[in-house]
Amino acid sequence: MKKKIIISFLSLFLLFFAGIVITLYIINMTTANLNALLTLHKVEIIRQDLVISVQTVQSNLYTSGTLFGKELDIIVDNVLKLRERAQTCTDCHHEPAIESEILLLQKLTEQYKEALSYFITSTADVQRIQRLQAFAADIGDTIITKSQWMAKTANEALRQKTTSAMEKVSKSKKILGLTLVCALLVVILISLYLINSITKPVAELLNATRTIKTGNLQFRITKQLQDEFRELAISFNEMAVSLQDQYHKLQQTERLAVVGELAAGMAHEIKNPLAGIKVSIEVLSQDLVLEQEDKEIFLGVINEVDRINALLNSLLSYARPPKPASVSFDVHQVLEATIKSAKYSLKTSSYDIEQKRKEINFIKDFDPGVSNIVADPAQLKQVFLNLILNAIDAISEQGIITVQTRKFPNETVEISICDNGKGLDTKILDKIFNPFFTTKSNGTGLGLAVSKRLVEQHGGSITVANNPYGMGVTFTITLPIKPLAEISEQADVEEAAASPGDK
Amino acid sequence: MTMRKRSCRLFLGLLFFISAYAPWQGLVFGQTDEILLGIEPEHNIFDQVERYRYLAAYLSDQLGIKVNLTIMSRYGEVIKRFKSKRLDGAFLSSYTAAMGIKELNLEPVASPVNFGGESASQGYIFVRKDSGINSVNDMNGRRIVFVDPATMEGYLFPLAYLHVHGVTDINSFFNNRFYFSGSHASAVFAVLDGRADIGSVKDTVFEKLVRNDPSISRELSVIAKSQKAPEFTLCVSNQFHKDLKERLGAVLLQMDKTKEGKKALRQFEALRFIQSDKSNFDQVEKMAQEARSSIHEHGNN
Repeated sequence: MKKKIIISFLSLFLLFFAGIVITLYIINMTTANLNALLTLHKVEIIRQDLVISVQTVQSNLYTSGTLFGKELDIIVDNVLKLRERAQTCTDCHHEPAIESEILLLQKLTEQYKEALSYFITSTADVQRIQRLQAFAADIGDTIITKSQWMAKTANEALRQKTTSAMEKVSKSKKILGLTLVCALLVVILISLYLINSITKPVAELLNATRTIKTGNLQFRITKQLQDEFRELAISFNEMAVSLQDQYHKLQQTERLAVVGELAAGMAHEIKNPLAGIKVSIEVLSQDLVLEQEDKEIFLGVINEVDRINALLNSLLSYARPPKPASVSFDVHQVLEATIKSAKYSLKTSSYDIEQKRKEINFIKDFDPGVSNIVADPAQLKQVFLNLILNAIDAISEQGIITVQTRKFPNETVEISICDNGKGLDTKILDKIFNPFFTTKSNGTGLGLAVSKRLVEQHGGSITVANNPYGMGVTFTITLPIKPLAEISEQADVEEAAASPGDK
Repeated sequence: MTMRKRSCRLFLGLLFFISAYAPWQGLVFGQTDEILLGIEPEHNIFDQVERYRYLAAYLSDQLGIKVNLTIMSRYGEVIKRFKSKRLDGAFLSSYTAAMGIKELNLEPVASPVNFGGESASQGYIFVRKDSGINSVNDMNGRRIVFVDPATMEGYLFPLAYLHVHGVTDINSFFNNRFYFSGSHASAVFAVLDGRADIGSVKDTVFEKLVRNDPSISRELSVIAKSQKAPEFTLCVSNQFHKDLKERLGAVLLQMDKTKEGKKALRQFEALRFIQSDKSNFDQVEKMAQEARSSIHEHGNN
């Protein structure tokens, strides 16, 4: 669009410039024609003046020595005026033929001047004087005849040139008019094109914005827009997708929160009667004399009550997680302890014989740069244990679980637990942290949801991804070395210490 | 006659006197707004006026008064004009100047020096080369053209020359076939055109014509030359105010010292002006005396 606008404005500028050039050219041409006409008229006046001057001098010549004769000084003035007129003719540019005639006229004027001088100053008999007078008069007559002929010729030329000049002026006017109309049309076309190029995409974007505003988050700009507007439309569509995702997530979060609150409330209400039931069953099983078969039934009831109780505890942990009791501790030690617990749990698994048969190899890849972190070690141990047990569950007979730590410059540590088990379907990866979502037959679907709540409660994050090469998944926990508030406070203290002069 | 009538007549008479003599008074006391200078015909009178107009314009500018020009159709006319038209001054040829000094007590002011460095001129007697005239004897019965009776080079000199060579009556010597061309250039053209066989002319005019048309020197030959005399001299009336005369002389003599003056001199076709006095015309008067007997004998034509 930017390019189009630049090209359009450049075109308009060039058009404007061309218009100016054409207008100036036409004005110059017209002015030149009019000037030529003016000059021709001036020349015409000069020629007429020349004829009048010669006639005046001729008159002076014929009346010389009579009562009507002029004083010599007047005659001299008239002759000099005549000469000046004849001289003026050569000041203008003429065609060679006319130039030659003018030169001849000037030559005649000089001869006339000479003859007049000769006549005026000569002292001789009457016949000689008359001859001198006649000689001068003849030259004067020749000049008049020639001047009149030239005036007539010039008149004809003037008439032709006037007609030609007026035609040129008329043509110039037409060209100028046509140029202006064309320029106006081009300007209108360019303007319309520019307006359309801007308003149409803007209208499309405006319409899309309004549609999104009405809540139709599925709406996308499908029309192929041009230039920057195309990029804008793509960004808009991406924004709409993001908005829709966020909206879905928000909806889900809200829904889960409501469900969690409801479940927690229910758990709280259920736990008390459940405790009563358990105590009553235990009392009954101790007081009554029961057959072994009946005792096992009572024991089964107590176990199920315990299971319900554990489920309710998980629900409560998810809905109202306990506030972390943060202390500085070595994360590697907690991981070591967790792995040990997991191994022990694997060996002493009372309800699943298959678990006991599994051959799991734990690989610890700890970064020595990872120092103590400030967090609740019990809650984190719960998270690590949950993830490791999930990894054990994912491995069918034998496998490797790699526990890795990494320290990042941004004061965070990364703890990843990777297994080479059966992995997860990509479709369920997004749902894995949802409460009550489980892939296990006997799972509650709260383990990972609780783990996520606990990690987030520490200001960290947890993600899951299938391993790029081979089987299994990797859970990655990112935790701040210190709680965010503490980091902020420390930064303030360091800043203050660095600038003691400010105090 | 009543006292009132007398007073009235006295007033009118006084008014007439003042109006009649006011210009003279102005000129005498140097309070005039303009002066009139005469020019004698020499070359083509129109070219001559054009040339003198540059000088007049310069003088007007320097003196702060308008300098007007008037051209004469005859050489001798200038003397009459001095008498009748109250000419304030004139550029006079040597003989006219000599006559003016003698008869009208004119006062010479300055003379121009031409591009050749000369302020003086001399007379030529010339003939066509194909005329076969080589001496005074060959001139007998032929046609001669003089310039004007009031010119030294164009009349006095040939008369004096002829008189020295034994011609005392030019009427009979030339069979009454002589006339006056009016200007020096016209005299040259008259001989060239065959309207006369012998001519007299001022050397400067002759040389100028030759410069303009070298063929003239191939067609004409000079057979006699006079002594040199001041070519042109600005002479002013004896009524001319002394201060103005001095200013006029000073301006002319200083012309070649200033840029504008040099430019005007170039247009006037002169190098500078030099001071002139009455003694410069003594030899012209002497020549006039020599020729006077011839003039007396053939009459003043």
